[in-house]
Amino acid sequence: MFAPSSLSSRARRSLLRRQHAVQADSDFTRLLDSVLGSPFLTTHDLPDLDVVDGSFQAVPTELAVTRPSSPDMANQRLTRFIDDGLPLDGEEGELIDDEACFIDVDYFTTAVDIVARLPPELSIHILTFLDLDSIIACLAVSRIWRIYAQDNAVWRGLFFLRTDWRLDLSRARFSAARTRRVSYVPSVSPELPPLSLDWWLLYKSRTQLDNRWQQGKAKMTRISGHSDSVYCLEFDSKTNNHWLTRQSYQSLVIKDRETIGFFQASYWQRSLFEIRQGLDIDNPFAPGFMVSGSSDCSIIVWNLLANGRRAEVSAILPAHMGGVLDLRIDDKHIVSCSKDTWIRVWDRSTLGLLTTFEGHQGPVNAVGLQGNRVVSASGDGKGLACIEFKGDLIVSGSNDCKIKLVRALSFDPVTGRLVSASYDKSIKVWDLNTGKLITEFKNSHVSHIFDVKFDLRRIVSTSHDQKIVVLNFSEGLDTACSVTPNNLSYKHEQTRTRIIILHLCIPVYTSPFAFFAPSVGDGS
Amino acid sequence: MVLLVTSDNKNFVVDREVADRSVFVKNTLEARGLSIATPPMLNGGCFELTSPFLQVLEYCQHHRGEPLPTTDDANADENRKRTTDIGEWDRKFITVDHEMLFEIILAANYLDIKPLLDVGCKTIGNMVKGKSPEEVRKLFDIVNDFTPEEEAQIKKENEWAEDP
Repeated sequence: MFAPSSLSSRARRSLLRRQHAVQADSDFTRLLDSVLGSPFLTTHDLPDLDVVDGSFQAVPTELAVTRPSSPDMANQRLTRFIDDGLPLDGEEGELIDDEACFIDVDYFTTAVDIVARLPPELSIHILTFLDLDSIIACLAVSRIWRIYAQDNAVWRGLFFLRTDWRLDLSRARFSAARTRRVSYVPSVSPELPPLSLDWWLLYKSRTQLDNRWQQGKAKMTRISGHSDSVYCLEFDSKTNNHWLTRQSYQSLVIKDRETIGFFQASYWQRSLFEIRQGLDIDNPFAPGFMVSGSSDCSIIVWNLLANGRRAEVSAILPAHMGGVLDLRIDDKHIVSCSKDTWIRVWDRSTLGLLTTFEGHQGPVNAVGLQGNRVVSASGDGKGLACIEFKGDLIVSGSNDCKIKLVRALSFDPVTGRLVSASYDKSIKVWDLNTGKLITEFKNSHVSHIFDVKFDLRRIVSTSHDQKIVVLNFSEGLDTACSVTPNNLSYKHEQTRTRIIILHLCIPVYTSPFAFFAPSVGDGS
Repeated sequence: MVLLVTSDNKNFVVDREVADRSVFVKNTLEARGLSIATPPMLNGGCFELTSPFLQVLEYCQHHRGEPLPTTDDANADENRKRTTDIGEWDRKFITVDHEMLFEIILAANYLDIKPLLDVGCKTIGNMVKGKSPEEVRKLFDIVNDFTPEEEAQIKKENEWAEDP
């Protein structure tokens, strides 16, 4: 069991130990009796037991189990970082612990750099309980603390404490945050995203991005191309390469990164589209599916990917008695609203009419769709121009408390960010939770703004001035993995929907087949 | 009853239920059908085993019979990390000097008593929380081994985290 060379010193120490042991054993009994009410027995209390001399040999070696030592990395690092000169004598192998029994008692009363002395995986485990400010402080404590506080696992933990931050890991390959930053935590939690990403960089980029939104620091790009007012816009922020804008009564534009293809179409009022990566065999409408509504009272269903970049008309629905003012689609339904005061729900796969809602007194300007609920906004004598329905929130824009009409808005319940665009040429960013104005862009357009959309990286707006303006907040930052509002499926609470901006008469309907609430009180 | 022998050759006979708080002891006993184990061969930086082991036993005694955390429960693991609350008994129990805290964490780790390990780690975390680097150094008697140039560099690198 022991190397022969260590026998003499071992014998000496064994003698010492037995002298101590008699004293110590009685101490234990006292201590246990007094502190614990004797929950444990020492060997003195068991006279029948053979094993009382306290040495290893007393336990049959084939039955004894010794805890294996901790991983090599930990030992090496631990040894390296102990700076108090205590003996860590390697020459006697397993007896190393006995050596350590003879320590000056004063040592116990002084402060100890526990984090530096623990094995790295334990030090890092401690740091995962800390918040950002504390980690930032730890970075500046000492060299060894800095190494631990920089650990990738620590930053991954910090990132996931931010519940308003989401990541799209399928996009990680586009990100520069592929790391050479290691972690000392040997076992990677399989339920968490990989440590191959640089979580410090991701955290830093995201913080800087959020700060730029707070401060309104964006790089503005004006895109020309339309020769008339640009009424609405959709963009697919996930693939980042398809933009769709509708120009007033003239043409529909799909803007690719490299190419701009035009195809003629007349009288579009609003259009929505969906371009999905890959073919969905079960659902022929999935890739390149688009619907558009027009002031010619009809809805046209398009297949954008039918023939290369050319779009084809799949069907024309004689939908309404008046111009179609807004549309929404989800995976089962198409919802349209019209000047004829009706809201209609269509089956997306059969294109059959499912139901008609009648309730508004005037033209229905906007609809929202989520799960089995439809929200609609009507002029009804006052200008309620737009509505958004996501999560538990309905947000609407009107001209009742502004000098000019709020023509378009877009929001993201996860980040609590709301962007509104108005005829007064301004784009405003709001905090949904506090209702406060965060920042404002006054001079991006020279005329009425008609539509606005945003994701984590940018705001895109269209206007009567024939321009599309992109406000980019992510210049120089690596935000490839940042999930954008469009990609999220929101948790919808069936029972409680909070309406945060109330105007005149917003009927709320639930399910395509049941009437939920005829109207919400005036200005309440 | 289980006989536990520490590496400084002290024998402890404890209830199986108490010993089973240590996943290491539990697994060992179950795997080999033994009633005798010599578990805490704490290596490296461990100086006196008996006193931390007594503390660990006291903890196990107090929490005997409670359900052990399952390792495959990822959610529980996440929740554990999100909270830094420590139960009242645990907080009093862990109010010890640094050296003992260090020993208890090591022992809890080697014996695989996850709740105790977390109590220790959270305690240190709570000590650090809200402190400046200088205060942390003072708390743990740490020598600042950065050069002034490095300190300036660190300050600059951390600028992004300051409030805008």
